[in-house]
Amino acid sequence: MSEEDDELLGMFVQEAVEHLETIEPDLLTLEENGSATERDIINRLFRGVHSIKGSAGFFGLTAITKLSHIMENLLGKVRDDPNVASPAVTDSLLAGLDKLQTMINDVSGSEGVDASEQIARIQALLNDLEGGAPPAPAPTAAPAPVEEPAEEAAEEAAEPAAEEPVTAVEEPPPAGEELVTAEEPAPAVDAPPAQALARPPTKVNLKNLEQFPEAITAAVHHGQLLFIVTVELPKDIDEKRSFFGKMKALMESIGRVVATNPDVSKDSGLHTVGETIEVLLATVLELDLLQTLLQLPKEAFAPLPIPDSLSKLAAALRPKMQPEAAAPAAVARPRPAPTPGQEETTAITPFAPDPTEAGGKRPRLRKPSTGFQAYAKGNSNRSGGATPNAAAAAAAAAASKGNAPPAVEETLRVSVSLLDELINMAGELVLARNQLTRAAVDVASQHPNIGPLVQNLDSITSRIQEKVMQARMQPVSVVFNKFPRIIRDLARKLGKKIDLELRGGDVDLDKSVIEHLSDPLTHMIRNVADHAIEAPNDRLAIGKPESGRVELAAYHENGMVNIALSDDGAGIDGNRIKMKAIEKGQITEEQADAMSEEEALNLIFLPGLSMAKKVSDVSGRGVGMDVVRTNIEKLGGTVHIESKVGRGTRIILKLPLTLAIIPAMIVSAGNQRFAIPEIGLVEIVRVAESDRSNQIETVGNAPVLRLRNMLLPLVDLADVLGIQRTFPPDSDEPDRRNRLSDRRARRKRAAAAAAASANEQPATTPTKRGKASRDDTNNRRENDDRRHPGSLVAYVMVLNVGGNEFGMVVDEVLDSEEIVVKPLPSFFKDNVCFSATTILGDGTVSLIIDYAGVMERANISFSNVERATRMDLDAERREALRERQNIILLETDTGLLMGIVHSMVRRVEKISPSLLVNIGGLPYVRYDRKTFRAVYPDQVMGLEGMGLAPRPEGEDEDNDLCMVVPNIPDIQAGLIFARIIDTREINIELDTRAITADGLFGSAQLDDRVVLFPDVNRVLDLARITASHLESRLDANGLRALIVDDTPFLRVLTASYLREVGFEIEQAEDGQMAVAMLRSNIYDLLVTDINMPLMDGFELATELPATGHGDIPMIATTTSISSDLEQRCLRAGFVACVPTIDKKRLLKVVSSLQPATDF
Amino acid sequence: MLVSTFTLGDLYLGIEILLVREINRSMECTPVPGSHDYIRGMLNIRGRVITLFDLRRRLGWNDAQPVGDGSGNKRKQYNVIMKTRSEVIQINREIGEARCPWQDPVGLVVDQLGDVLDIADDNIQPPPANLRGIAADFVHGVVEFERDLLVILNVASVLGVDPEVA
Repeated sequence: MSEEDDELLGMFVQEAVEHLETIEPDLLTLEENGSATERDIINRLFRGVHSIKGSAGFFGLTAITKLSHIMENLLGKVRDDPNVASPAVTDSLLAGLDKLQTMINDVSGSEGVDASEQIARIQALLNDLEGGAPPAPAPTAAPAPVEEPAEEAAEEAAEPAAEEPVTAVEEPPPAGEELVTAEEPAPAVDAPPAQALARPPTKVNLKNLEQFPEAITAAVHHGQLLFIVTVELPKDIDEKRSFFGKMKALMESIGRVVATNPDVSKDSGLHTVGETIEVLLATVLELDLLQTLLQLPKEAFAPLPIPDSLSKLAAALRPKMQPEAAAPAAVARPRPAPTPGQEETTAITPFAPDPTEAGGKRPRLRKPSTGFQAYAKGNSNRSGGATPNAAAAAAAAAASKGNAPPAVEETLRVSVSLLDELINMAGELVLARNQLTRAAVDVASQHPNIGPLVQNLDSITSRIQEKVMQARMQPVSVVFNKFPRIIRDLARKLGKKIDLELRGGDVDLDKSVIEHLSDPLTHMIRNVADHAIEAPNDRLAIGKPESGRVELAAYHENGMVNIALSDDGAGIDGNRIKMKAIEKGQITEEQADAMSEEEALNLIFLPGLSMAKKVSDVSGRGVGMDVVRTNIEKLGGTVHIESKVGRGTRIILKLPLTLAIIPAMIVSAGNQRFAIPEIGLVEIVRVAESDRSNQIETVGNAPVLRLRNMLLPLVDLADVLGIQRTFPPDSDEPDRRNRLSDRRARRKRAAAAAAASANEQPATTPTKRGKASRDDTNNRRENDDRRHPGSLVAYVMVLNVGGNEFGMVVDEVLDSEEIVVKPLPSFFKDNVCFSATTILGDGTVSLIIDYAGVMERANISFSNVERATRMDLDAERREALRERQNIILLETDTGLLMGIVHSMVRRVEKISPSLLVNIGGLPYVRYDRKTFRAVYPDQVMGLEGMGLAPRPEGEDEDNDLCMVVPNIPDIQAGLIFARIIDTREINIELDTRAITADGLFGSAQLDDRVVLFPDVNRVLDLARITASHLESRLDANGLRALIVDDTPFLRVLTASYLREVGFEIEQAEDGQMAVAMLRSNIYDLLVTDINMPLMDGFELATELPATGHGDIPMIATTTSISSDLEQRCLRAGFVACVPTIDKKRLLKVVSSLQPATDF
Repeated sequence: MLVSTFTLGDLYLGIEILLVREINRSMECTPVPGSHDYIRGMLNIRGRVITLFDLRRRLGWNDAQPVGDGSGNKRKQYNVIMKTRSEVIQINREIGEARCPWQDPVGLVVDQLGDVLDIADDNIQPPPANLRGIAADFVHGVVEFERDLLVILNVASVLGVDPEVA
């Protein structure tokens, strides 16, 4: 085949595919509406199949020709008498269509495709139809002759009625057809028998314009001129063909070839043509231009004026055609006459005529209109040149019509690779722009006008990138449109009735997203048809309409595209899923019990869990929703499911608009930068070295992050990727310690060392990283010293994969960027950790992390971790989970180190000694327009002179003091210290024996120093500040209180308050322990912390009745009180909620509980 | 055919010039954790992500860096960036289909550049059995000169892409 032929064949395939796309929905409409189907649709069907047949004949594709021919014959019957459109007919046509599709998808192999079954099926139907009808003429009955010049000629002359003699006479043919038939200049074309291969050429009188109504109409509306062009052809048949092909293509490029004389719509046509051929050409070009373009002598062109009558008629008729064609006409020029013909108009367009005013003129205008309709589609396709207004109107009209093929805007086919290149270059442009912007800053002073120029370039660049991205967008209807057929087939197979409604087909998505959407959606649709929608009888029995409703809708939300598939079927029973999952051993019964409805629904995404009661042909093999979710998540989307038993289910896919540009966090790990897509990024947690030991723990062998009472499995990105680290020569032996922190510290050093030594380090890396590394080098000693916390920081990216969260540890978070995604070179395809590459702002290539892959590589098993968090926690874990206390370390001017729990402190103020005043023998501090009583805790406790370390003298010129204002209401007093040393989060192991003093809880060892922990309330008491408020009328002697708090320190504190008034105290570390104690002992009061691991205060409150002690008064304690929390506590059955350290309030509440008579 | 030549240690190597897109000085590239050791990393050249193969390592040599010139400075290496399959096919369909199975932009890191030589096909001989420093699989053919033996690389097998698959 020559190159031109190749090209032509390509065009044929594209065209055929377009036809197939409209044929399928039209067939479905035909099936649904049967004989009530609009003629438009039937005609369009016929026309589509016919065009395929015609072009296939031209290329000698006999298999396609054969099949399309027989389909056309059957459609001919339907067109003649819509009553024959039985389900059997549409079924056979759909089967044929599928075959046709296969053939056209692989044109070169189409000859080898066996379509005999489909042909036989259609033939059988044809025979049946003819058995009941008058004997049909040859063309119909003939076993699919390839050549049918008569038909071809007739069609080319745009005459549907000439196809073959009307077989169904029961129904009068539409008037229009009759009229056109009457005008047909050569009814004789019907006559020649089909088998004639080499016949005399079909003569067409090109001057008789009435045979080309659509062309003339189009010409009138586009202001085209008509020419008859006489073309001289070479003698050799092959040359002739290629010459004419080129000439025709050339003409098509500047106008439209309406018809030729002789008619050459197929291969054989040219055989019979002599040395000249006449072409009727409609074009907007003037004669002299035409001449230069076509390079034909002037004599070759004969202008052909359009008769007035025809042009008027055409103008009047336009709005009568298919709406999308009609609308432009209506807008393009004022409607000269009102237009009737409602039966054919399927949608009311904004320009739809008022039927009543049209009444009078109906007979004259109506007749030809029907004849025109067959061509409306072809015409509308070419009407793209209409004014923008008209195009918009056409679009609106098409939209209002619903399932009609969309109006065609003027488009140009562009290959995807060209678009990709454009995107690439737009990306390059962005990089160049960034570099220029940076460079411009330096020269801005010398060239003041460069700023605006760069800015302009900047905005243009952004717009270019945006538009180029838009060019890759496709409407989701590309995918949606195949579902009516699938639903139909499934419904039939399953004996159900299902109505599918499509909405939002015009929502655009990136081509790459669209491509990957088809499989998951098909899967979901199949599921819906198979097990969501009940059988018709069952539906009727429960009062639902017989037909199930399924809606597939696309819409924009929050910058994402949502695709929602809703049905009114049986819904999903969470319990049944749970049972199934238990049965399969995917969850335990305990887990199932603890699951919410939503969690249960999400179980259907587990692999291997099929909800179909029995395996059917359609679904139920256990490959299902997990694949859907995997696929959607690969696209950077998420899947949500909502369901009500008996009411229906809705599955929502949230998809990014594009995959080509995504927002991502740029992070560094092991001295290399990576991009982490933001789509699954939940939050970023910064873990300072000082907190690390508190927040990061080891369960089994796996590190976990404790985050808001949740344990998050941790993955160190650098470890997973196996990034090589070179250890500095003085580093310790390279054995791997279990602590992330240790490894981290070492890695940091390594990175820092590497950064310092590597002079070849590209200057392009962000200074942030380089600087940080160098700082680290300088601080290395200090970093190792735990007395300087906070300087070493790791970041935990909390990521969500398929509903499970895990943390990915990175060294630094550098930036958030919109990155252009470039495919991963095939050499790395087996690396699961990377999904793609990108080029960062400075031009370096960076890898995009596929965190599902990282998770897989790190071998995180969520079920294990979850089990660990929820249940089976041993004592060790309890210990690990215990809340650390944030302690403020202060030093008195006698050198005593004291620790005060952070939550007991309202604030710490730095005060100048000059603010201290002595009033009435007592020290006060004037601060912030208030007067505070100053308390020296060491003096109050009688610990003066016990100074364990002399205060460092000399260098400290700063004489300011520290005043700690305790967090106790109504008290205006401050504890005075010389300086604040530090704040620490530590687990205090209080030693109550080594050092004793009134007002002292105890002491502890910290960094080789003794820290004293004063009882602030008692200290204030001792200083006679609080002495007045509480008379000791509270006597709880003989009463037992259970104090539940996970913080030993606070537990001791609360206990001391209550013990003071006579309570016998028992303590529990958390709710679970408390419940156990409550079961075996009797208490008179329960005081519990709200925030506890394992079982918090609220859970404890709900558990309480089960212990048989539901009537115990409960008091909640919390370190951070709010009215919200108080309300919640009251609702949960607590008597009150008090701040943990507020002795006064706690005792007040306790005293209110005691019946006055008892004391 | 026209052959672009270069050296790798003592080896005198050549690649058919039709397959070569450009040659530039080696620069810092992004390593790909978890990949083969002979993959040096990825490089951005005018918006294209190029995968760089370290030819020394690919040939199984242990010293990835060429020996310095004595002054302590490492000698600069060069990237020989190959055309992609589609680029070659645009120029010569036959060669592209037969000898250029790689679809992604890719480059080889070599030590020193040599001349471009025009070599008659008749002079290209099958690799001798005793070729040292390079596996016969990687050799398309050899050309004998008075002093040197030019080894013409079979780039497809160097890159580990099976010509059949593409």
